[in-house]
Amino acid sequence: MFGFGISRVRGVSMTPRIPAGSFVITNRWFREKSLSAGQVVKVHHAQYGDMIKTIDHVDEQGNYWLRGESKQSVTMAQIGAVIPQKILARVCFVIEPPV
Amino acid sequence: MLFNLISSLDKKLSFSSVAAHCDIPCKIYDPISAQIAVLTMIRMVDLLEELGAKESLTLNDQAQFSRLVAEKEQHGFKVKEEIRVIWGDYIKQPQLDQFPELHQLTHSIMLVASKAKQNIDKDATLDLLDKVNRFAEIFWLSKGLTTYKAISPYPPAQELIYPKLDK
Repeated sequence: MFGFGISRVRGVSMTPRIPAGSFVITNRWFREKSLSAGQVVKVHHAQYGDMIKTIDHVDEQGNYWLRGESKQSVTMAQIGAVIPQKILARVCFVIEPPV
Repeated sequence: MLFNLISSLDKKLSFSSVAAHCDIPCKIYDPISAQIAVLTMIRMVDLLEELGAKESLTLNDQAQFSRLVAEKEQHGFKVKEEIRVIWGDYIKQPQLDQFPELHQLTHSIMLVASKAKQNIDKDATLDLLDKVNRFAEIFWLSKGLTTYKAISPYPPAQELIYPKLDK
């Protein structure tokens, strides 16, 4: 509804910002210009499938370079440049599992 | 509280999952994906045999036949991939010392999975399940967990190995 969705997070590469097992509220109605470094997005990647990563920077061609929040993440180089069409949604809210 | 509410909804609605991917060993391995993929193959064979019992196939039946074969093929590939990842990434010398059958078992899973892919053969899929269950049992034992057997509470209602986890 209104572009909002919920996804469950698998894996630890976004810890400590988003712990494994969290739920994220996403919104696919976003303006590309509103995306900036530091924001977390849901992306479809040809090799890794649907995943969430933090935007590191946008290059001169308008491609997004993404990173994880922990050292265990696949690297920016492994993910490669991501074209804007592959960004599925912006993560608006994180619901962390109880400690 | 909000998390518990969303978790409850997740159990009913099955939200999609997103990977916070790691390629440096994240130590997240679980043979259940392979086990469920074998169950899918068995189920596809059962449904194919139901189709085979019909005197003639309608256009829809023929389309269903193609879909069932394609799903069986895809899940056969998945079984091999899931087992290969655990064998290649998780299994190391200590596990091999503890369970010397592992290489042979893994290789036999590859062969039987191919056989189950190439044929509509219930016995081959059941043989594959036996081997994948044994692989799962070894996997959990190697992590210091005991296991138990239970019938999957959905078709094709076959026996699976599950780990006993503390609450």
